[in-house]
Amino acid sequence: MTGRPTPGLRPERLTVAGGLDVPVAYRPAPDVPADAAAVSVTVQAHGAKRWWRLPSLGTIWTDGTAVIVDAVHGQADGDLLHLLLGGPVAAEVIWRSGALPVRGAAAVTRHGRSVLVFGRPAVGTSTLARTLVRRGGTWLGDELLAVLPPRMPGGRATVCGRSPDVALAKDSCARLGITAAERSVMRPGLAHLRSDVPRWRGDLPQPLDSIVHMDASTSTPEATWVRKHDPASTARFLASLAAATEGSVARNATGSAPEQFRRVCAVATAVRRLDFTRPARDDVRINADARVLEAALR
Amino acid sequence: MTAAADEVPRRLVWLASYPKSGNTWLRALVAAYLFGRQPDSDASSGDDALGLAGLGAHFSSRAVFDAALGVPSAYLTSGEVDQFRPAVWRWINRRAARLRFVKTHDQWRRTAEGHAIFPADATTATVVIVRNPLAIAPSWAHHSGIDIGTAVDALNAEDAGLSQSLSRVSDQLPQIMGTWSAHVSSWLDQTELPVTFVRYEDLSARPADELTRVLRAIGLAPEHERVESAVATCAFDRLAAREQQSGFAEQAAWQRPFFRRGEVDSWRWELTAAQIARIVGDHGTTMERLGYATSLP
Repeated sequence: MTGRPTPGLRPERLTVAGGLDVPVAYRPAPDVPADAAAVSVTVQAHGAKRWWRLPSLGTIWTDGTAVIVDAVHGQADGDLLHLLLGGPVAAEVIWRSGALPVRGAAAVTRHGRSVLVFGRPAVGTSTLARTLVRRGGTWLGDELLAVLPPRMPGGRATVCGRSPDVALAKDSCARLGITAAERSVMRPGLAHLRSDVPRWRGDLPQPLDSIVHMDASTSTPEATWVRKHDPASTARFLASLAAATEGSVARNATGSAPEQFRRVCAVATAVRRLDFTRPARDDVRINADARVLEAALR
Repeated sequence: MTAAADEVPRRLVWLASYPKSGNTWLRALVAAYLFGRQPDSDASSGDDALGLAGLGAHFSSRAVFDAALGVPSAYLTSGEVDQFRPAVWRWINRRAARLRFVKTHDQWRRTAEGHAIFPADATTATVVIVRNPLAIAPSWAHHSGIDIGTAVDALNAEDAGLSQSLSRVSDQLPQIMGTWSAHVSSWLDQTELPVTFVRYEDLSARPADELTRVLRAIGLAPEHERVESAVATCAFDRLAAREQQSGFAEQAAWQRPFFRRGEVDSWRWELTAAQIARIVGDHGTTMERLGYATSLP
């Protein structure tokens, strides 16, 4: 490890979500502490949730208030480092801030209410969220979101993200009619393209009304609507969601659109529980198993 | 500090094969032995009545890879995915509390940096299931919804693979198979992993003996009665009947059944003489390495 400059990546700050950002430095990382333990959030990470050591990339260190990148001989790929910073490292920063990092999810807001869509990779979360934007929503974020617990009794959980655009597979772009002018190449050799999207410009996290779990498995017999908190406004929002879903569908699902829609399970229609907390287990990685999030919010 | 790799128990068992070579059948046998599952006794248990999910994840599961790495694999090239695979599976091995049986259709190969994508220091055993390519061709054609001639071509396609489309994102990572000969040879010729080879034909003829051999290779002490029970549970007609009754997660294209014939020599009337000659011409050398006849009696 030399800490030499990494071509193509010199951000001075890592903006995580909702105004939460931390400085990024490029220099040799601190020594791994003697009591370091394996960290669950990513591979080959060491030491009280602070270290990521990855082959041919180097070591990334964070204590939640700053990030140090110690690149391998200055040769680490900037794109990969960027993905790491925006993924597991940002998730760690979110976690240390007291919020709940949610991976593999997208969020859209409309009229002060937000919907968070999550599911396993390639199930079509971004496609559905992009469809909601097309129907009048505003983009909050993709891939990594921060869900904040209510600040006061009776308050709502809020959600915020950081991605300024949406990455969609080429087949999704075609399905949504996104023109060449509206998209750009993300990285050579990928099925994904970046698509411009109307972005939420505010700094404040947005109230979270709905969480939608997309499940393309054939074992899901029909939609499961959990009516714990189901105000009329949320019901209307979900009704519009239903209409949107029939036109978007999960990419890998099979069968007709209505059938695909039935596989979209709303696991909660509102999140305003007083006892909303992050999962108690320190090693829980949200969305590694989608049911974890569902359980955490019940 | 970082624990030495040798201090971590090795809990990964690779179950490798070219597609349609009996990998699922062997996994069903192992699951039936370990879990005592009766596939036709619980039709309400969903896609995994065979208990396959309890064995372990697929090597190319995108969800598993993404969860381990923390970076969406859809944003990585195929080469970058390979680069991270050894680290991902070492990480999974460290977290495993018991043996994890990992199915793969990939060739054994190295990353661009020269590391094997199947990390030996996390491996407790490797079982490679092989099948006569003359039988694979019609089975692959059925599974993929293509004609047999196209399947014969695919057996000899150097760039053959799965989930490699750049127009859509599959729930599986890209898988590189190459030709049937290259695939089998990659496992035959590598020297990093001790491999137990199982021929589909032997598994079909002597399932209890072959399952016993596999279990011993994994490090287990097979119990005769449990082996016999597993074999009875996973008899082809019972698996096929269960699939017809309640489906199967790995169902073939066009809603065709996954468990088709289960016969070892149906190719004799399913292939034309020209197709047989083509396959033997393309793969005769490797067939002979595995003890398959290259001339019709």
